Amino acid sequence: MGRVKSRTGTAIFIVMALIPAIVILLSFILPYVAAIREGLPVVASVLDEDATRRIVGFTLGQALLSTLLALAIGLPGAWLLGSGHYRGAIWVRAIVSIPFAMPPLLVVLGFVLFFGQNGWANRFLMSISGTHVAPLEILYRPRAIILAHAFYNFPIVLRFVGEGISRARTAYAHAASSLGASGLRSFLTVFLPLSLPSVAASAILVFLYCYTSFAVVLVLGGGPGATTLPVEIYRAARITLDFPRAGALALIETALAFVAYAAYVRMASISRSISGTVDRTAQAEAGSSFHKQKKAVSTFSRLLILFYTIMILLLVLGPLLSVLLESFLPRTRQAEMLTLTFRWWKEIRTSAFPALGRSILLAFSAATLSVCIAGSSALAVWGIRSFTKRKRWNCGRRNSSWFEKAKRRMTVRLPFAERALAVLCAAPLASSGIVLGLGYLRFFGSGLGRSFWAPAFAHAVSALPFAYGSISEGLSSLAPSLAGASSSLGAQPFRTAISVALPAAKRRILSAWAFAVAISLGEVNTVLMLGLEDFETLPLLIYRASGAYRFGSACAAGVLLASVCVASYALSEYADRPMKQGKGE
Amino acid sequence: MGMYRRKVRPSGCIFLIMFLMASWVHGNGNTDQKSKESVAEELIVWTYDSFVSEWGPATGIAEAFKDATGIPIRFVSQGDGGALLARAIAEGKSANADILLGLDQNLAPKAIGEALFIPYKPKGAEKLPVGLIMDPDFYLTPYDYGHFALVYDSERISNPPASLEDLTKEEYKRQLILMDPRTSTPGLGFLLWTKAVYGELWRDYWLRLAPSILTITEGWDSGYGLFVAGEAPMVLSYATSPAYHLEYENTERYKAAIFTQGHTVQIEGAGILNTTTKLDKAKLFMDFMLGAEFQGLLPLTNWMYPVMDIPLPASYRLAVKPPLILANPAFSEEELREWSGIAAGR
Repeated sequence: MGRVKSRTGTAIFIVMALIPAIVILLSFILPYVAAIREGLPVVASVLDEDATRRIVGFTLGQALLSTLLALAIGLPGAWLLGSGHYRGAIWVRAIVSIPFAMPPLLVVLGFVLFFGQNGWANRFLMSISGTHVAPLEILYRPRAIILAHAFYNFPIVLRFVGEGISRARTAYAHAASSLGASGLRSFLTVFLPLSLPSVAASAILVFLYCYTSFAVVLVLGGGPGATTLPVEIYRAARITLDFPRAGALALIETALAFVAYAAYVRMASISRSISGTVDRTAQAEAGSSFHKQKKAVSTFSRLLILFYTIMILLLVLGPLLSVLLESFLPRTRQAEMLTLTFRWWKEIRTSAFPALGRSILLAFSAATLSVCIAGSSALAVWGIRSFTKRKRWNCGRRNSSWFEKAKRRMTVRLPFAERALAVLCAAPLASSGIVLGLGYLRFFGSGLGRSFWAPAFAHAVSALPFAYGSISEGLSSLAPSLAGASSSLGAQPFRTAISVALPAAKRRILSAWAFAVAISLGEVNTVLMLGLEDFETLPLLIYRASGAYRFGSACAAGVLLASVCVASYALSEYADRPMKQGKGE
Repeated sequence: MGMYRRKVRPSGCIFLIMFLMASWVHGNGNTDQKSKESVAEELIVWTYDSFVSEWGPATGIAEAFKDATGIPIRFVSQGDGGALLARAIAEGKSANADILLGLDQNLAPKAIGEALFIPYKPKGAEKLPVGLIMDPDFYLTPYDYGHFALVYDSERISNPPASLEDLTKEEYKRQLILMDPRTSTPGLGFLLWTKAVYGELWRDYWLRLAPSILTITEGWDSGYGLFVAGEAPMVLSYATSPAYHLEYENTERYKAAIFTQGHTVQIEGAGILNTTTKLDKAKLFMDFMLGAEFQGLLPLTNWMYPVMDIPLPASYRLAVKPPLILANPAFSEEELREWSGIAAGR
C-alpha cells in the first residue's frame, strides 16, 4: 500500500514539474528561439568580423573587472551584515538594493549628479578647497563603467553571499568550539570551503548582469570605446532593423552567457548542498550557535559595521538623494542653483499615481506568476529529490519485481528532470531582454504580444532565477528530516509537500515575491518594446518625461519609483530575516 | 507560529490594499478603452511613444480632427521609431491600423521597400519645401522636421562655435556631449552632418573632434539630461530646444549655435498603410495633417518645425532657423563601423 502511495506521490511531483516547464517553454524558450532563429545562417560571418571580436573581448573584460570590484565592495558587507545580529541590516540591504531596481536612465543620472564634473561630490570638494577645477574626474572613461557596475551590482553579493556566510559562520563557530580546532585552521578548512561556492555563485550572477549591461556602459564609459554586445544587438534590432544580425549577435551573447551560466548552476547547487548539510548540522546542535555568536561582537567589529554602513549609504544614497534634489531644482539660471521649485512634481501629479498603480498591478501579477512558476518547480524538485532517495533505499530491500525495476529506472532519470528544471528556471539570466521582447512580438503576434499578460510574463521570467533560487534554497534545508518524518507517519508525499514543506518555505516565498515585485517595478524595456497601449507604467512615465525635456519630472517620478522599490525590498528582506529562536515552530 | 503570523499580516494587508488600488486604477483604464472601442469607425494611427505621451501632440490632434471631420481617431504607441517600423513589418497584412505616423527619413527607404504604404499626395502637398519631400511618389508625407544643432549654456560659453571646425578648438576641450549614431537618430544626424560638410575627410574631422567630446550617450534623453545637469556646456540636440526652455521655464539660458555652412535635418513623415479598410478617412487625415491646425500643434508639443509655412509661437524666436539645409549623404554599414573604431580610439 505504501508503495502505491509513493508512486502516485512522485507522479504528482512530475506533473507539478511539467506545468512550470511548459509555462517557461511558452513564455521564454519558444519566443527566444523565434527571435534568434533568423540569425543562424549569418552567425559565422558575424563572428568573423574583427569588430565583433573586439566587442566580445571588451564585453567580457569589463564584466570581469566589474565583478571583481563588486566582490571587493560587497564581500566585507556580506561578512559584516551576515552576522545576523545587526538590527539595521534589513534597511541597509533594502537601501543598497535600490540601484538594482531603478531604470538605467536614473541610475546613470544619479551617478552623474553625484560623481559628475558638476556633481555634488565635486561641488562639495571645490567649496572646501576653494578651487574651480573639478577634483574628481571619475566619469566618462572606461574605468567609470567598472565603478558604476560595482555600485549597481554589489547588493547581489551582499544579499546572496550574506546568506552563505552566515551559514558558514555557524558551522565555523561550531567547529571552533566543539572540535577545538584553532581559529585559522577552522577558517581554512571549514569557513572558506563553505562560503566560497556562494561567493562564486554571486560573482557569476554579477558577471552576467555586467555582461548584458548597456546604458550604463555607453553613457558613463564615454562612448563607443565602450561598446558591448547588447549595444550591437540594440542597434540591429531597433535602429537598422537587421533582424538576422540581431539574431546572430543574440545567439553569440546567449552562448557565451550560457558558459558562465552553467558554471553558476554548478556553483549554486554546490552551495545549496553545502548549506543543506550545514543547516542540518546546525539543527542537530541543540541551541543554535547563532545565539552564542551574538554576544561575542566586539567594539571593533561594531565600528567596522558603522564605517561600512556609512560608506555604503554615501555611495548609494548620494546619487539617490541627488536625484531627489534634482526634482526640486529649476535650473533656470546658474546663480539660482539652490532655489527650489515644486513645478516638476506638480507636472506629474495627475499622471504619476495612476502610473504607479499600473506599475504595482503589473509587478504584483508578474511576481505572483513568477512565484507560482518558481514555487511549483522548486516543490517538484524538492519532492522528487526527497522521495526518490527513500525509494532507492526501498529498492535495496526487495529488488525483484518489474515494478521495482521501473522505479529504479525512474530514479536514474529523475535527477535529470531536476537539473532540467533548475536550468529552465535560471536560464533567463543568460538572455537579452531586448531579444526576448522581439521574440514575444515574433511568436505571439499582435494580439497576445500587446496584452497586459505579455509584459507580466516577461517580467515574471526575468525574476524567475531569483525566485527559484530563494524558494528552492528554503525547501532544500528542510528536506530529509521532514519528508522522512511525515512519511513515517503515513502521510502522502504530495500532502507532505502542501501541508509541511510549503508553509515552512512561506517566508522564502514571500521574500521571493517581494523581490520579484521590485525587479518588475524598475523594468521599462519590455513595456516599451511591446508598445502596450494605454498602459503607462511609472518607468515609462520617466522615459516619456525625459524624452519631452522634463528631466525634473523624470527625477520626481524616479524618486517615487525608488521609494516603492525600497519598500518592496524591505519586505523581501524582512520576510527572509534569520529566524528567531523559541517560537515553537 | 502565532508570533510569526501577527508579524506578517500588517504588511500583507498593506499589499492587499495596494493591489486593490492598482486593480481599481487598471479597471478605470479599461473602461476608458472600452468606451473608445465601442466607436467602431475610428481611425487607428500607429505612432511612436513620445507622440502619445501627455506632453505630446496626439490628444490635441485627435480633438481637432474630431471637431473638423467628426471622425474619431485613436493613436496607438508602438514604442520608439525602430520598434514602430519593426512591428508594422512583422504584422504585415494583419496590422490593425490605417496610418503609420513617425518614421524619419532614415527609416523611410526600408519602410517603402517593404511595400507597406499606399501612395497618396495630400492636399497642400504642393506647398511643401522641396528639401523636405521624403519620396517623390508620396508613400510617405512629411509633417514636421527639425535641424540638428549644438545647444549651449550661454552662462558658461560666451563665445559659441560658428562651424563644425570651431568645435575642435582647444577651448571646448571635454565640453561636448554627443549621441551614438548606432543607437540614436540625432547621433546619426550629426555623423551625416560631418560627412555632408567634410565628404570623405569626415574621418580626419572626427579625429580632431575627439578631445572636445566629454561623452557619447546611447540616446538623446540621457545626453540632454547630462547637459541640463551641467555636466558639459554643449550638447547635440535640435535648434528648437531653446524654445522649450523659454516657453516652459522662462529662461534664455540655453541657445542653439547656428553654423553658416548649414545643418542636417530630421524629417518625420506618415503614410497610409495598405492594410487600411478606411481609405477615404485616412486620406482626410493626411490632408488634415498638412493643415494649419495640426501643423500649429507641433511646435510646442513635438518641438519640431511644421513643414507648412504657418506662424510660429513667440518662444520660437530662440529657435533660429538655420539658413541652409544639407542633404543627408549616403552612409554605409562599413563606414559606421569605421566611425565606432575612430570614436573608440579617443
